[in-house]
Amino acid sequence: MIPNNAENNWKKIGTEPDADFNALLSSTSLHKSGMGSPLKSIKKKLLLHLWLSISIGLFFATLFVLFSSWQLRLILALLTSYTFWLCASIFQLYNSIPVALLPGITLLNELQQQHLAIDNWIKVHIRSALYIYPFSAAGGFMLGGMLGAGKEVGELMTKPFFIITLILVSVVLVPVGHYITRWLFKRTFGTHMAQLEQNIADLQNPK
Amino acid sequence: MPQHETVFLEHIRQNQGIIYRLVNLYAADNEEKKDFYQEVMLNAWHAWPSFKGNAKVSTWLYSICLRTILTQKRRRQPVQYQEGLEAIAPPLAPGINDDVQRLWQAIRLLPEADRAIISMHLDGYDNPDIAEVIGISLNHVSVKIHRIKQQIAKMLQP
Repeated sequence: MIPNNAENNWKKIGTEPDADFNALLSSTSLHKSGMGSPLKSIKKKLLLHLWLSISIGLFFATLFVLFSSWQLRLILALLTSYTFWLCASIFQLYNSIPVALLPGITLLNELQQQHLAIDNWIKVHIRSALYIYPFSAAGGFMLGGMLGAGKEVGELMTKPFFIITLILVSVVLVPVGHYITRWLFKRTFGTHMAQLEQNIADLQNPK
Repeated sequence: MPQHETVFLEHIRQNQGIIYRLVNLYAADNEEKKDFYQEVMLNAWHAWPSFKGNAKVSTWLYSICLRTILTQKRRRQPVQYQEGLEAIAPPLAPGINDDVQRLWQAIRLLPEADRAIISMHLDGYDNPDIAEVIGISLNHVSVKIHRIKQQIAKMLQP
């Protein structure tokens, strides 16, 4: 059994001075920024993604104005619309992540919320990989063909070689982009997510 | 120093044993221990304005510590369950008797969720308080404490 007087002896642990802890008991340490929580790190990355997405969306919109080919414009319109929808999703996710630990949240809730937030963040990336990459690949290929060959897209599309290469580029780049995204996520958060899932399961298990 | 910071730091000093025990129960090494201390202090400080005094400061701090530590991304793999009671860094301060050292080591070998529950129990919290902080039912807490004690007793058998 647990030794007698375990509670009394247990509480004696931590009454000795700890140099590392005492160093933090000062006003200056309260105003530093910590980055240990994955959510704080994700929040910072989301802001960067937001600015990048806005820049890319504006770039697509500029290309839309500059080029008159209807096929290219159709793809650019789709890309621009999706990019700005993605910006809205990123902004919503950014706002949903709290800066401080909220009052009244239990340990189990905290674990579940963090798991959900990280999961939502990766879904944003995977969705982009699946929906944007085919159009980006096709649009980039058409643009490159136009600029390199000096011909309109309509003329290029009459060449079988152009169409076959366009399809091959999309078929190869889309799954590659998707799997690279998943691999990067697993590398960055895989262990942490597994630990969160284990702790949630242990707490929910009635035994 | 502004008064609210002085009050906050005084509460932390009075409850430093809680922070010490929890950080050292979960940290894999001294570097992780320092990271945990820093994150707990920062999270407690940011959450301080929303603390309305409707619970004891010690209970509030317990919740902050557990929520911070168990949501941190670790530097290395968490300690896996082992058969024997081997010393796992960081060691307890000198002057702690052998029985408590062994109890400490046994608890460090438990799954992370179980460590949270048993440490609250050993710190003298009632089952309703534990249920409220952890977020599971009262019955669930009782069952888990009983099972964890059996597990620890088995580990402490000579």
